[in-house]
Amino acid sequence: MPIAALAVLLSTTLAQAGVDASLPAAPPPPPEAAAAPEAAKPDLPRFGFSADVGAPEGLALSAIWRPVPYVRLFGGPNWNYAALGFHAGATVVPWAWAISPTLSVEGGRYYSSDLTWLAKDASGVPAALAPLLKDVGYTYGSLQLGLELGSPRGFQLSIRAGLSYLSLVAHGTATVNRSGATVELTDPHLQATFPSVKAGLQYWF
Amino acid sequence: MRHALLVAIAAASLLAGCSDPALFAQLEVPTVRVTLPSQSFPASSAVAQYPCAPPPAQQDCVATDLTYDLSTQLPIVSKPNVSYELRLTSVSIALRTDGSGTDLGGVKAVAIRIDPQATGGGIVVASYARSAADPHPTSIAVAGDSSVDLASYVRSGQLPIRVEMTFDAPTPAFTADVTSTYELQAKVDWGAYL
Repeated sequence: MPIAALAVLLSTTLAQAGVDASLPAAPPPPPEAAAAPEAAKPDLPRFGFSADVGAPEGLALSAIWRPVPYVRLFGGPNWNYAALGFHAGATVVPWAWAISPTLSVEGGRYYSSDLTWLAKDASGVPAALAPLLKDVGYTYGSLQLGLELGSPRGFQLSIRAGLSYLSLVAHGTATVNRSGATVELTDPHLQATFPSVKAGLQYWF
Repeated sequence: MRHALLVAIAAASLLAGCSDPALFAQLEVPTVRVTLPSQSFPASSAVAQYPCAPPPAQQDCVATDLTYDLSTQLPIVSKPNVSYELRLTSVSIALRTDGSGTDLGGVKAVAIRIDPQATGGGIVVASYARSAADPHPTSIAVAGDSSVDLASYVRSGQLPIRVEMTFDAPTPAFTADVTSTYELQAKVDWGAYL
């Protein structure tokens, strides 16, 4: 999305939140003054949806449910170009301002897919490993801290970063010839942790 | 919300306190099969190049040394910041049909010894005794002791093994494919690269 469009979207959502875009965050109003408007202010929307892109989840679409103001549960399908999968998770948002910190935990699974097209010596993946790439699926989990910008009643932009865990099993046997010996590798299992990032848009209704 | 933040801080502290690296990649391969083709074994009547350990040398035992060049056969084990475990699950010695031997009926027992040059002659990690049910086998399957981690016996990427064959009948020199099967677990502390 062009930068200008993002700026318009952000200013619109900040306006929806009743926040001056030139300020990073509005200070909380005094308790006496807030009591009356707060009573009149409707509850935060309970439902929303989001579209995120990042690693290791790929492109993820989520339905979001806010059972209480500080907690959200989400889940939906995701896609990583090679396969479809699903994910689910929870986000804790300590306060719902125009700029809000978040703590998210998420898990997901990608169904098995055929990645043999990756096995070309020129691509850096030895062609001999092709048999291991015929049936590859992975499971992942992430713990991420982030920021949400925008209205908790309308559009929000989100960015998150943290640590992810991935578990990948490749079924099959690869055979390579090295230094006069034949080496066969069967059903390798890879587990890894790595920094992860995610950015997305969400809309509440 | 303070509780959630406290939980997050506690989780981060626990991660920081773990002895395992926070950023790692671990590869587990339940079956790694390395075959050394056409290995020559001396006849039972041959003068042993090495005595079978432990001393005193047995007159009916002939030893053959083999080397697995793991640095090229399993390159991950010689990469920096990699720790690994390598466990032998089996060894098979299969007579080649194009060799001179007809069967291995004269082989009474086999022991696979790791690190034979070490003081004390290393350790036996696999052993075989001929079965009465198959007195003339053309291949020998030797069960491995997978409780032994062979990583500490790898020197400069080489794993030396010694095949000790005890004969009770004349056996000509023969050629066989030697296949070792391992379990491999390699862990890369790739946070060390950051």
